[in-house]
Amino acid sequence: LTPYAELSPSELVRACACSQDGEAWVEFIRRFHVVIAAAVLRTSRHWVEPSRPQLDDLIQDTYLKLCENDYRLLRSFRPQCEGSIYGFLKVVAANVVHDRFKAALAVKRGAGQTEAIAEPIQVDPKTTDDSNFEAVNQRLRLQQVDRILTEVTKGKDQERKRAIFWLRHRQGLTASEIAAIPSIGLTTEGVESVLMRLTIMIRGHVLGTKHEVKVLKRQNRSKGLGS
Amino acid sequence: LERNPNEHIGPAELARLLEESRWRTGSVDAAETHPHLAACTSCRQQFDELLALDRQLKNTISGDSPSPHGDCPGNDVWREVAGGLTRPDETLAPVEHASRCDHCGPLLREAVAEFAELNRDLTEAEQTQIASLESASADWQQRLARRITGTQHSGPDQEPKAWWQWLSVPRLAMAGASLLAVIVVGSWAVVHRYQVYRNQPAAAERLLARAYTEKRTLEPRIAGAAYAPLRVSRGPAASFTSRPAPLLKAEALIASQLESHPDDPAWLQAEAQADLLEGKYDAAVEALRRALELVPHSPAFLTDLATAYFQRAQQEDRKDDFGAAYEYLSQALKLQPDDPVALFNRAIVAEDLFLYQQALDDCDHYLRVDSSSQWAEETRNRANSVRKKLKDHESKATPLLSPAQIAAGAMPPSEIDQRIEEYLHEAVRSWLPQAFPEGHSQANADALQALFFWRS
Repeated sequence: LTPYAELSPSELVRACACSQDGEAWVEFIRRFHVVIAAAVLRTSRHWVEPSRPQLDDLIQDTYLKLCENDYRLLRSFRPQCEGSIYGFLKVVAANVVHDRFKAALAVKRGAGQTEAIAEPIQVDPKTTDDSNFEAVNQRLRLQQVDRILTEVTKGKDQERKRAIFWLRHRQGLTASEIAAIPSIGLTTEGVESVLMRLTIMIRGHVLGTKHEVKVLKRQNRSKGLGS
Repeated sequence: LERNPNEHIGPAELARLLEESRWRTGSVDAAETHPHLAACTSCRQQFDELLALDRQLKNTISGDSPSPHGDCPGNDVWREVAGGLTRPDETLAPVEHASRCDHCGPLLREAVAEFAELNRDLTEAEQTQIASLESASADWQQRLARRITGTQHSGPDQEPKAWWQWLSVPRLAMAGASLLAVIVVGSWAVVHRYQVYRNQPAAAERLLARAYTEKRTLEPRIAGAAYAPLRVSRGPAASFTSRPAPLLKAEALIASQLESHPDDPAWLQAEAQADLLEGKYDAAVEALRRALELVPHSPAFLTDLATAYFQRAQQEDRKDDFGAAYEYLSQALKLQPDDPVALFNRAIVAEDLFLYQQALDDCDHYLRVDSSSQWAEETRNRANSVRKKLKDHESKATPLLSPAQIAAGAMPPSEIDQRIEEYLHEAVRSWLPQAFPEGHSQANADALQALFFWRS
């Protein structure tokens, strides 16, 4: 074993980014090969069932991507926790695979038929297609709910609560999908609980009563039964 | 444990039932959802009401995926967000954006789903497939490592010769010459390495200055950086790949040097400047405070520490930090009164503290030191803006009382106290010369009386 085998993942990344020592890279490839290979394999399957040489090529491309421009990507890596490197390598591998297949698809379609790259455009709210009454109505409903939401979430964590609410109700993410976003910092149950409390509060506003969570407490259970 | 069907449904369970019902199509019968809901009207009503609102909101989900807007982040950001590559406080802004944007929301959802799939444990079939790849072999991995580092290992081993076979006269002469050469080269290397080490903080400083200019995100200046217009970072956090290349290089250099020189003030300052460019203001304050403990009266450290406090004050709305920034810049200017960076920066801090007159004074002082650079142009613009603010303020404020009005007691002392700074300024600037004129001019009795009033 080389001395590099004793380094933590972050230390090993730094050693590879700052030195030209082949032993450091041998250890890096040995340690992270399965992570990169698995990410390449699963991402490739979104496009085709990849052959073994294809997978080897994509795995090699991922390592070379990490080394491009004087190890730019490796040097840009900022560990958020000890396991961050695995997420980082999966992201790099997924990007490499998607880029490779997109490029291959573009070549296959021919230069004249490649999809135009969508340029960011400024949308003027006054000129968007609002002729559809339902669209206008929907927008008004969303605005009304957003106003109420802003009011009921005033204070700490407002942005996070609003993000959770709209990820669920506008983007259609499930509670477990929302909880999977690291910056949300909640379990699935936590997200469900936030969503329910917000829904209750909004309901209260819509009905014109600012009542709080009305869920009956367990010690008073028998009173509410069958009433 | 068996659950008592007479127990009311708790918040966590109600939330779970709502979540499950949301994804069912068609009408949902509360009684079938949970046995307690069949028996308890109160819980059923609550559930039905919440479900109705949930359904209404579900109908507002747009099926369209419009083109990106101007403030949409790049598509690569979503995988980084889903993979947790950025700090949670930096990620919240793009997540919040995606929650309201019909272009980015689906991209985030796709990235989250993709990442969930990548995080699943490997199946046995996948493990076998990966193990059978050529890239899984040690030989392939060593070849790739050599390719990456551009080094080649030594050739095939040869049979070693016995040591006495080397002892011939020409070989001994060559060995002696080689030894001498090694000593000369070694001595040069030691001296050179020392010089290189000494030059490295300056190299880091140059890289940081270039990074600042390539992407100026700080309003205050850092020493040595050429002019660039301020780029207010728009919208959510940038991708981790978008940091200027010189910043990345400087950070690698600083990290490697701080390991062996953790108490070198020059490296601490370089680290703090990199932290400032990264937006890590707490870390910058800490590093500069350590540097100042080592070199207590360094104008450069004081100026950068002020910048760290100022940025943190703006980010976290910490009023004390604004004061600290002003104080440290004043200390730096006491040591180097004409330092253009400290003057430039103090004008900014003063304006933020509503010390408009002081801001204007610093701008004027700066323009006497540097009147022609692009920094000077920015200072001129700042001075004009401050002048306008002062003018607006003066036009809105009621005029100060004249000496005669003060002497006549036209206003209670408490109201004068509220504008004490302005009266003090007026007393020094106008009343004193009127009360004690030079030459044979006649003293203004009202001014004199107002000054007596002031003393009392």
